[in-house]
Amino acid sequence: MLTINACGEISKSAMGVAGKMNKRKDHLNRVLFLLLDNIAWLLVGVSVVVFSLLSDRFLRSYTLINIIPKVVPIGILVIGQSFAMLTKHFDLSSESVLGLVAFSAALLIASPELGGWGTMLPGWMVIVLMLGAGVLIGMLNGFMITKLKLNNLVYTIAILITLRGICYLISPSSSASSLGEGFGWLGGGSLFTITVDGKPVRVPVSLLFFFLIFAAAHVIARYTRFGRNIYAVGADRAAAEAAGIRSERIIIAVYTISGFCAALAAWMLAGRMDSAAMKTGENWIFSIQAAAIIGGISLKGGRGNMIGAMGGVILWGVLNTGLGIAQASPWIIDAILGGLLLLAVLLDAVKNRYFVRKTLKEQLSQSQVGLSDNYLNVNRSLAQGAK
Amino acid sequence: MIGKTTLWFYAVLSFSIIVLVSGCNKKGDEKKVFTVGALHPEMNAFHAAIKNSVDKRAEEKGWKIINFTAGVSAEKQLDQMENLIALGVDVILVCPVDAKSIGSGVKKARDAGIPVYGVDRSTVGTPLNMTVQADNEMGGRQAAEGAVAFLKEKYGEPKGLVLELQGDMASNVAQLRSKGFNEYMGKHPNVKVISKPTEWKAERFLKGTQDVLGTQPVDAIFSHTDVIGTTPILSALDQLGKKIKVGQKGHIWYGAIDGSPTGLKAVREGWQDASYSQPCTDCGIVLDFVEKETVKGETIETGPFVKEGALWSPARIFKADNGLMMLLATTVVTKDNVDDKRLWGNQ
Repeated sequence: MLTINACGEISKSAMGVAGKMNKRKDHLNRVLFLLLDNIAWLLVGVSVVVFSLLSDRFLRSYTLINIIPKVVPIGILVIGQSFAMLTKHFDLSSESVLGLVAFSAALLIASPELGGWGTMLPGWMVIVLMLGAGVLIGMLNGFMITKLKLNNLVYTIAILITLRGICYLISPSSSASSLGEGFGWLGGGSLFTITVDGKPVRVPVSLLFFFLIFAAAHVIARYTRFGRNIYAVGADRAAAEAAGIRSERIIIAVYTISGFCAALAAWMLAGRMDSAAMKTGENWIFSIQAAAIIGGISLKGGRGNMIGAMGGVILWGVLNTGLGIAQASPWIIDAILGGLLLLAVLLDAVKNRYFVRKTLKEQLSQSQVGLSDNYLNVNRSLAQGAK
Repeated sequence: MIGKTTLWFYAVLSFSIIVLVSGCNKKGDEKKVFTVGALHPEMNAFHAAIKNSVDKRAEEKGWKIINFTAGVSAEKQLDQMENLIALGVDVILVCPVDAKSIGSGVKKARDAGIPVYGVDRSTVGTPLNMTVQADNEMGGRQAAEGAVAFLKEKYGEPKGLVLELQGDMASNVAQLRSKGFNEYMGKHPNVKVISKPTEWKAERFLKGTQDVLGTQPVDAIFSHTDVIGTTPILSALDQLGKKIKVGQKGHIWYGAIDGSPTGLKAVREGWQDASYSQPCTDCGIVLDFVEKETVKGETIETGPFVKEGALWSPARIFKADNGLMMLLATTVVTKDNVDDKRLWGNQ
């Protein structure tokens, strides 16, 4: 049904009035989808305005400078998660990887009086161990999922629970703190101090690092062959493989990146808190998913970009700080953040439906053959499958 | 991919934000009220009693108070600490989720020139201006004394097996309660103590009791809290067929710290031997010291601190390695004094 209508509207013989209307409609659609794709940034703008109206304390330099440092660890996990989601996979284990890596690092560095194991290793050595551990865990995850064909959702949930369990097992039932300035520089140190209204305000290193790492992620995803392969695998794995992309390798690489990101986030968070505990990072997975999806990373794989994901993280930070400063009740905060995730999933579904239809129309309009052609039948089944 | 439309989109978006924000950022000078920020780890009967006490004291002084609750997340509490600094409060009261993790937040507040006081729990590793808390070590010792007296009566000498259900050992109060209890027990080598950490979680109190009592002949149970612990412990005893009233044959001694409504009810009904009541309705007294030190600039003297008629008196103030410390005495509550109106569990 749909195919005949679409064919009639767009077929080359019917150019003219219909073609003009379509052009205008296409343009409108493009603006609409530009808005939808950048919904996170739009909401950042709206919430900044709302919070400045609600509290005169929001537009202070201290507040503004400290919005992003609070969400840097979450942001780095969102990068890892986004890479996985672009290939149509999930890594739900990242918060536990972060917890385990951060807590064992703290135990290795801290003195016994402040909760450590007593090894008191130097900070740089622990950082190397942390990042190495993250990469190894990520690689293992990718290997299990591709080679053993385990369901990625259930497998990463299993890892989520297992690693958190190990956190509690190794714990001397107390947190470990005082990890040294060198170790904590990236997560909790400051670049320089500015003076506003006679009061010193520190500018955290993590603020700069946040933009640097998102820029790096954006470059990898958009301007490298590896990045293009990620999108290809996520959009259509069979087609990507037919085009010679070794999808298993891509997926293992993506999980490795996610593990590395979790370890990096662990380093940032332990530095910011100057400590870690068995509960570090618990229940973050909800925020990570929400920030990625509202940032336009599609659940269907193959669509979205890192700049959007960054918008999602910044929106998360603005809401967290803004609602805190407006002294909203914690229940309202949860309700708003939950509502946001719901909105994000809805938008994602709407966009998916639109893109499937659009692709179908384009392919039909270019086709010179009749409806009985095999090529069209393939597309028809594709459209039905996507419904 | 970034086309003209996208660029226009960003340009219009940022321009409208700048216009709107600069439009609404004209604020008049408001009258400056001394503002207290208070960070609570969670909200239950116990922490609500502390909050009410501090709220009341602040109101008496005509101060404004901003309360935040962290939902037992150390990371959230650090965020909230930064929010309080952003709000420009004059002083911060904190009951840390994690005694060590809160250190980085305390340093940030101090950088911003805001003094930090501890209420009910203190820090480890980072000093505060002052902490007002219950004498937790004393509570643990009182419980040990109660348990030993029971064992003496049962066996003619202090011997037997005691289960200690600990709180979250990351908090300094749990450490102190355990220390007071085990130091006293250490003097009685025939009493064996089994310790189980619970993270202040009801299901772990239940499991701890079931696991140990199901396999070993325990004579007495000491719980670090009766707010969370009493209900699961009594239900575990019930399931094991060991829930027997105080004074009857086969009764297992049970004592717990806090003196919460739940604990006092169990004492009244004869299921719990003793509760060691905390002076949490008097924690608001910390604001008197804030006024003395931060507002008036006087120094706080160390030594005993007496207030006629108060259950927590005599308290003691001394210099600890995490700043000035004021310890309020805990009260032993048994069937004899369970209806005392001054106990916070009865208010």
